[in-house]
Amino acid sequence: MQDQPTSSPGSALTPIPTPAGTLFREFRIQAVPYIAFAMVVGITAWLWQGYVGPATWVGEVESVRGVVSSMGPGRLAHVQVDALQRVTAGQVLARVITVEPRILEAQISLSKARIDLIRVGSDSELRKQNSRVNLEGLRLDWMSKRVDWLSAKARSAYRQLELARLEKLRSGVTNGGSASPLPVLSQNDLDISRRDAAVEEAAVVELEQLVAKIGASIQQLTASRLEGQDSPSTSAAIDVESKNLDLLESQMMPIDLVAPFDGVVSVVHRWSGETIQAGEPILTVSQEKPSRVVSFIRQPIQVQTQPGMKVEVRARGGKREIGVGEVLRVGSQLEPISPSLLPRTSGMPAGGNSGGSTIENGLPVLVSLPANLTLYPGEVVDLRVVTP
Amino acid sequence: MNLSDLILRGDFGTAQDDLSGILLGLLIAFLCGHVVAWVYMACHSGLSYSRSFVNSLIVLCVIVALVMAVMFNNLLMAFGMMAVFAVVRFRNILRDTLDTTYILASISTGMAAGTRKFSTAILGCLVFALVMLYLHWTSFGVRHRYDLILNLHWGRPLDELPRLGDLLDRHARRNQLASQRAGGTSDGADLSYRILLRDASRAGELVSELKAFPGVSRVTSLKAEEESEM
Repeated sequence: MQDQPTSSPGSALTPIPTPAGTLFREFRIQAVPYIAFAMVVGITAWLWQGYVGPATWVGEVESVRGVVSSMGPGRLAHVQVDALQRVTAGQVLARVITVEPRILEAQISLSKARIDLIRVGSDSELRKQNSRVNLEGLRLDWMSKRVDWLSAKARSAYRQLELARLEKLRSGVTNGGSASPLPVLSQNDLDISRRDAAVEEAAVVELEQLVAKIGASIQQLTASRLEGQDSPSTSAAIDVESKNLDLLESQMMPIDLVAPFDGVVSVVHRWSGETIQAGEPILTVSQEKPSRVVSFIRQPIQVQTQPGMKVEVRARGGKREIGVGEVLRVGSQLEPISPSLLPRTSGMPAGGNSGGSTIENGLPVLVSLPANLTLYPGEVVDLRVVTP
Repeated sequence: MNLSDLILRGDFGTAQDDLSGILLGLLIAFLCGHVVAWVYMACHSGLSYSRSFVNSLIVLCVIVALVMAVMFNNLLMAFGMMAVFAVVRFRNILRDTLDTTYILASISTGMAAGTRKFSTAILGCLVFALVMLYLHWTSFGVRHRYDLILNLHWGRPLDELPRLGDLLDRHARRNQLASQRAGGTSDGADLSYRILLRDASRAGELVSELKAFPGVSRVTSLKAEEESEM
């Protein structure tokens, strides 16, 4: 039933009712744009708070890295760690053989020849003193066995390197960790190599025991022998060769490369079997837990910092966590800012090319890392002064 | 990897884009465009007012923000976009500004997808679609809306016209006397009203009441579409 107009002089007519659909349409057209605008303003403000920060003071969590290298040239015998593996300070990471086993074997052969020469020269004299204990002869035998032992060790080391290489070939794994589809070595060849390596190893052990036994006998005889019984020239020659054998033994010992501090192996530069030069990086070890932030105040410098100031440190990743650190030290001059800390448009040449090669200087400031923040070394953070 | 990772971390272009930054840019562009449009609506004078142009002011801001996010610092991509737009524009006459924004939106989202910035493409497309639906749903940009154009002859003295106004107010949320032509010697005038009805389904009732109203004659009505503007 429709309402009728109540037309009476001097009074307004009763307005007809407005349907809900029309009211909603009016709301949609009149009010929704303002509501939508306000909502977007709210969302933008929320995003802004989390995203936009003053880029005037930027920093990077300090990354402490140690490069492990060999003091001398040689061949990398065995890298015992892999990338991203945790290591402790002093842990042996790799071994370096400073002398090539074949060269060492040649030097040992030379030494053996010299010992034989001494032995021939001393035979006539020794025969004259056959009633006494033949100490020089025993020493010569001992040195001869030491030579054999060193020779066996060199061969064994060479066999071990070969065996490691052949095992890799058999498993089809390359140095980079990638696997080839088919092995390039038969199991039979690998078994032969393993057998040879075992034989050499057994020979080393036997000779080592023999050398130790003869060495002990010499020590007993040396303690009881009389002065002046030995020929001076023979004795001096034996001493020379003995020292030479000591040198060969020391060269035989591999150089252990150890971790400089607790951390993680971040890069493996060289792999087992590779030839290296002195000082060449073999492994890079990174400290696991950073302790401070290396930051730069960009120009124009509007923040005057001094040690002890409280600083808000805000992560750029994840939930943009915030912590409070403290200024540890302030630089005395402006220094180049790491490009990773600058906005992507910063340093862009006038031509619009994205090279970004222009260097920007800033004031370096060291800031302690807040304990509540979980940041990785190298992570970029924003900083702001909280209290002076 | 879950679906959100697939969508939000799907940019494989030259550099991984920060999607929250891109979204922030798009929203700021929307707000700025909105303000510009409101200012235009408030300040515009003359007969050339167009609702689609007002909508374009908002959408263009968003699309340009998307374009800049896609070809950030990349001069080659900028030239590529110009070339694509030129090819499209060369064989098409786009009379409506809003149509141009659709072309631009298609090009920019296509470029984002083509440069392997998949997340940016999805985000940009979603924001563009939401903005367009919002503008359509709210009829944004309409300044003067009327449901009915009413022409009648008022045969009584003009100082009695407020009585007619009372009747119109009964049916209209808003009415505007658009034109008034007074006769030379006789009393009364030809009047034209633009009316926003309280209930559009009862427009006939208004006409009937007007015909029965003393002094009113020659009543004709014309239903106005929602988009009819002054």
